[in-house]
Amino acid sequence: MLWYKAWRESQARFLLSAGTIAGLCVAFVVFHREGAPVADHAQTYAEYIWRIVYKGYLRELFVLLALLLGVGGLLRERDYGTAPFTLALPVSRWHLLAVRAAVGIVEVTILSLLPAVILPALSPLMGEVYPWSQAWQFGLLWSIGGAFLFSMGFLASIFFAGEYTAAVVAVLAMLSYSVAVELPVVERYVPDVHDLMSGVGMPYFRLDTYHLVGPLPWTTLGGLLLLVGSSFALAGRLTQRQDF
Amino acid sequence: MIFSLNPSAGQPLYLQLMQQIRHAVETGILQHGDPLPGIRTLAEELVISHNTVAKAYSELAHEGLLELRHGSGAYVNAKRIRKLHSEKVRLARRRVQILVQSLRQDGLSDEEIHRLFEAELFYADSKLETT
Amino acid sequence: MPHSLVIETHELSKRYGSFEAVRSLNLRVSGQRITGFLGRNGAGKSTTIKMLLGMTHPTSGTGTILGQPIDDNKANREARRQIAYVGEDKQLYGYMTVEQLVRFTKSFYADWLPDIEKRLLKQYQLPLDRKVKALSKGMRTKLALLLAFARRPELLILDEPSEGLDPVSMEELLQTLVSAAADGTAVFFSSHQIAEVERVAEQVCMLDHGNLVADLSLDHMRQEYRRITAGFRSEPSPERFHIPGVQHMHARGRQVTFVATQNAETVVALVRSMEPVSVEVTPISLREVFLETVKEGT
Repeated sequence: MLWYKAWRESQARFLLSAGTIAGLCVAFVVFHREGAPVADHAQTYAEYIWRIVYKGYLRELFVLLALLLGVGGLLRERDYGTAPFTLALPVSRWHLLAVRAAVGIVEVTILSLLPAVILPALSPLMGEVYPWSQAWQFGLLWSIGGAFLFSMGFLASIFFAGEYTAAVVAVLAMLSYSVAVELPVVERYVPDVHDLMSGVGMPYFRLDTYHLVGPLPWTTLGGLLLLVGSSFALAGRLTQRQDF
Repeated sequence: MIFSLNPSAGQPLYLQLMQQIRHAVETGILQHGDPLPGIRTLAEELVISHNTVAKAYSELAHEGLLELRHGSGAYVNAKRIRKLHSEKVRLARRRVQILVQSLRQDGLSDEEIHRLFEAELFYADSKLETT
Repeated sequence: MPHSLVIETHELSKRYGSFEAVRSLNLRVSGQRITGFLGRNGAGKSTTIKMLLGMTHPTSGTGTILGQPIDDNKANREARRQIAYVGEDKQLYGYMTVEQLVRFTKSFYADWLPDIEKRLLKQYQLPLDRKVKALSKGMRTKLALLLAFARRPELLILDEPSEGLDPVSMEELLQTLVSAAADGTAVFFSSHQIAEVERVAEQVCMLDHGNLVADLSLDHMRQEYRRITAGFRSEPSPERFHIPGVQHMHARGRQVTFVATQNAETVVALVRSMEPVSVEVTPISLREVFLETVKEGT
């Protein structure tokens, strides 16, 4: 029943995040006429959606939520005092970690696909069209970007005890990364997850139609997944050595 | 049967239990054929280790005072002539009563009397007087 | 003849920086009995237990629990299948209800006893649908105990189980320990309630400043240990009492008191040969032995 435990421990955060993302998506679609930011030209629906969801507010929110979903784990349990109970169970620390990671990845994936479902489904009801293929491609980019962010939050929670400390550190690290990755020197070597998820400056995104075109960056995505795997492996190794 | 064990009395609990069972048989509180509580039951009731009860029963069975019947527990075996001994005990008790009364009359406290008996029991062959 | 060892350590040590929590511990705990584990706060009891259960890694030394080496994760995990543990903190997942937590814990153990679970739920009066975080400390302790007792493990380890329990519950707890031991479970429990330990335990280990300072059979203690207090007309010189078997000697004015741990009669005879004006021989409680033993360490 470790899955149940991992679910219960992330339940509140997940439901709140899902509710917020879903709610915002619905709001963005329903109020697209009123909500469109004033621009110096008439915006197409695709541009509006892109700016507000895939580049802007929602993406930034998603980044934060994915990161925070990773926080938790045995170090948090140590603070609460339940670590001895959990560790006395006849399960390995790897198993505990793996279940928490798996549940988290599933949750992040669901969060990343919420816009992919809501936008194309709801838009026609408001007299607009948003193509499913676009939404789902973005969904894929987000799910992998989200997995990466989750794994960063997850790793932070291995190093830092104190629920809030881990979250704060993760957020600060994310902010530093976001700033650093804007510098051309860094950008050459380090993938910018934000741009990956929004398509800004990417060869697979066309700014004039605000659509994803062409093949998605499978190598970069593959690389990110590798990073995710390595982060979990590192988290496992470190947890194994810790004293509770 | 009511037992009263004292963990701090300086005597292993199983010995105390044995003594109390023996005493009960000698005075007739426990009679030939009476069943004793099961080891586990008695251990839980007295809140002592079951090994203690088991040891007491097994030692008494070895002495012949108890009969351990496989599957049904321990039973008192008082066939051996104990009446003589229980008579001795009864007389001895009376003598102790008289002595204790007179010591109290002399002004000694119960504590002091107890200590005198303790000391005496330890060094039966001692010649030294204690104050 | 001792039964097989359920816990055995060899020079087990744990150091945090410069602080030695456990020092070269050689602990031996036999099965089929109740063993008490005494020590002041911070003596290293909890650290020792955590090392045995694989929660804390020893700095040096080895140990086995139920025959499995404690530093082998897989082996230790296998051993934990047959171990029930109630820790010091007794914190449980606050977000689960009593029922959910029972169901959760039950799912990990093949030796779960649903009948005992039902009986204890009733006996401890634990409301099934109440969240654990809404339970009082006493109820939480009882729930933690239930999760350990509704099983038939080979070894039961309890770290200060009586914390937060009223005297009646304490009595019930002791009865449950006796019952578990009668069923073949080895019981190893640490407690500050020394009188309680004295009633049910057969063997007692004492830890002080990370060292094992005593490993005592209580029956042996009851039989052999005596407190001897002697008074003299003039102050005696302490060296005269350096007799084998004499420990924890204190001199005050014209009196001397000590604990004879063996051959009390011989020791008393020796004392009498020094022509005392009074000699008192009394049994000694576990509490006294403990206090004398650890005070000497300071």
